[in-house]
Amino acid sequence: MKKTFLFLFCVFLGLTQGPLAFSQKKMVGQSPLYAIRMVPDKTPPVVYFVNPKLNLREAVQVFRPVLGVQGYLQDEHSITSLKVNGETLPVSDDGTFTAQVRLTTGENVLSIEATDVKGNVLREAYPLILLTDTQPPVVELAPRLQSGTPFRTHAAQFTLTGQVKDENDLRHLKVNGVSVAIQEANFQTSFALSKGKNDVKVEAEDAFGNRFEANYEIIAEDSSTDIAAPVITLIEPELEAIRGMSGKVTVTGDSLLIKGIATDDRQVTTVLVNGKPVSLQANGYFKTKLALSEGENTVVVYAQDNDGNLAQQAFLADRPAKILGRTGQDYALLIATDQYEEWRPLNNPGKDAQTLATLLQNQYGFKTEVLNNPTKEAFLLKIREYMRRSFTEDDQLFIFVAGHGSFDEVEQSGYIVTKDSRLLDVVRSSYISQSYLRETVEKIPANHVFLVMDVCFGGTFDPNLAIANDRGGAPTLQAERAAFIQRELQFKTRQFLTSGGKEYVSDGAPGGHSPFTGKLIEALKNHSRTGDIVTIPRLYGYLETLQPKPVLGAFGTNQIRSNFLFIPKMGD
Amino acid sequence: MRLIGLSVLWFLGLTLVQAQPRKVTNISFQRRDDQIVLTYDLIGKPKSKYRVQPYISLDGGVSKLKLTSVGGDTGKGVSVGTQKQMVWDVFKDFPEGIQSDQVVFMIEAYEPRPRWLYGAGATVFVSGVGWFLWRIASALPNPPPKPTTTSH
Repeated sequence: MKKTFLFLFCVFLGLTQGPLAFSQKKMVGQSPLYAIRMVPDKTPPVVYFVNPKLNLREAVQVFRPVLGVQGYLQDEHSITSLKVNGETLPVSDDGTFTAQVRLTTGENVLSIEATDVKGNVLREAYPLILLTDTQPPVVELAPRLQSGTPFRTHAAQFTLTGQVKDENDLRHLKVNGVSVAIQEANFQTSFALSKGKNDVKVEAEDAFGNRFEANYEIIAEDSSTDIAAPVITLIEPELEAIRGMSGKVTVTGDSLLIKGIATDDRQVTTVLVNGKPVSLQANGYFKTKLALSEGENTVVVYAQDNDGNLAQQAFLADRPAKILGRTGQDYALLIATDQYEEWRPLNNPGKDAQTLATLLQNQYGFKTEVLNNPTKEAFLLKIREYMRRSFTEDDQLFIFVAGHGSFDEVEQSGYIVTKDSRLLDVVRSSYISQSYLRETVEKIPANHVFLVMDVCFGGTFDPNLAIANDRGGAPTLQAERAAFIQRELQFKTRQFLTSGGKEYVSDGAPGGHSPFTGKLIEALKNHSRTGDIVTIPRLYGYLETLQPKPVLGAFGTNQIRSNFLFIPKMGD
Repeated sequence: MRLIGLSVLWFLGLTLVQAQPRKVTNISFQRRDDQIVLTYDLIGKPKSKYRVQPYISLDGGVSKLKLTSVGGDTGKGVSVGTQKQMVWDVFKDFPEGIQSDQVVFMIEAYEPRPRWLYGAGATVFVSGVGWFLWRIASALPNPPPKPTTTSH
């Protein structure tokens, strides 16, 4: 019985434990912890029109019946097809496209249909109004020919120069039936004159068929004595009309470029600008740079022909006196990232920063520093470097940051993406948080800091936005400028301006600028020409029409009436 | 005693067989458009075919979900080797996508039960039961002889 029991026990073990041990042995492998975000692309492509800037709400008025359209498409994935007004068009790898659209007078619609690789379709219709152009081209000639009044000359060869302008594309310009090339509205042509009366017919036609047509009479006189003075035509500077002189120009720099053409029946031998001879080309073109003193400068251009006939043209060049009452220096730190290790590259930040730096340096006297494609560490080290610098009371620091931005929905905070930021970084340890940037910039010992960020989600820089009110334009009179600067810079500035709020912003088409920085550059350029001081409210007023709307705010220890001034250079 | 000795040998044999390393290791992933490519090493008996089942956990391994839209080195008949790959169509299993910072991929591999073991087990079992029944039958007392009838 004992043996039987042992035997049964062994059989039981053999049948249960053995096969169980052998039976489906489960092996489990486990990966490390990953952060993955894969959501289906249900977003159709987004189209941006660069030229003309079409928008869905308001019809853009155009004058060209055949309209060239440039734009670009953005999508998470690639674009598979694009149709503009039903016509299939190619899209380049970077999403840019061009189209030729035929319009009829009045209301038109530009319909666009773009499909991405996931089948998401963008269908939009942009209103356009083709206005009828009834105005003929305007032709200005040098020398000034007048219909009905013969132009007398002793020359055997006649050179006709001038400008032709029209709201639309010109179809052609012809002189005596011969087409003349136009370069940036300027043209020049020469033809032989026969003795006596010569008829000259000038014709110009625009894209709408509006025609300019004029007949002139040139009499080639047979005389050995030239009694006509040369004709001086100034190309640059553009003069503002004043009494008693040819005009006036206000100059921001310490010199003035003068360009012009001196023509004569015979030959212009000498051109003098304020008594100094300038080099003269065969066609009478001359160019020179004239140093100016502060205040009003009288500029006189003389031209003499080989018969001794003299012509002169005088104008005023006003170089406003240097700004008094300010000893501070303006600094600009521009940080741009367009190349990333993991994030997709951008088109324009580097170029934006460089253009802005050049403009600030040349026109506004900033000492600039451009930092391209820094790593997170390099970015922060640069900020630290500025934290350790010493600034005088009047010094201003402009900080510009352009590149990718990111937003954490969980933390509800924005980040700046640097070259070495990882794409999958849930805690965003490889990014620079905007709150950290805010804290560090706050510690820079400059009294006036203006931070401009052209990054996505830049508007989350400060959750408590304090939009400043425009306190009126900057003064133009010299007497008021110094007082204005002193008044505006008496409060501590910690303000920021970003290209958007809690949203993505456009990088802009390759080779151009981002819409935000492009407008910023445009604003600064325009004001540098007029010599007006650019304040933050004035700058914001220039930019606020952009979509998405830029966000202006204050942070840290900003004082309520603070400002930051871009003061055009008045010469050193 | 002989039976006990045989059993011990049997278990020692089993232990040796089980001592061969078997594991799924080096699990990594790569994103390819809407797909995730899972790469893993399957270490085990060279000639065995394994049944492989991938899972995903979105909460750091606390719970797991079976991946069904998977191709490549998955399912039955997967041989051992390194850099095994399976391709997962994410949006077929998760139409709304996945979004988590605690994603863990788990791969389970099952080594099938050898068929000969079934036969051996069955043979031993039937033999044992037969022998047992025979022993019981042998232990029973012999029935009394049937009474013989005589004719008048």
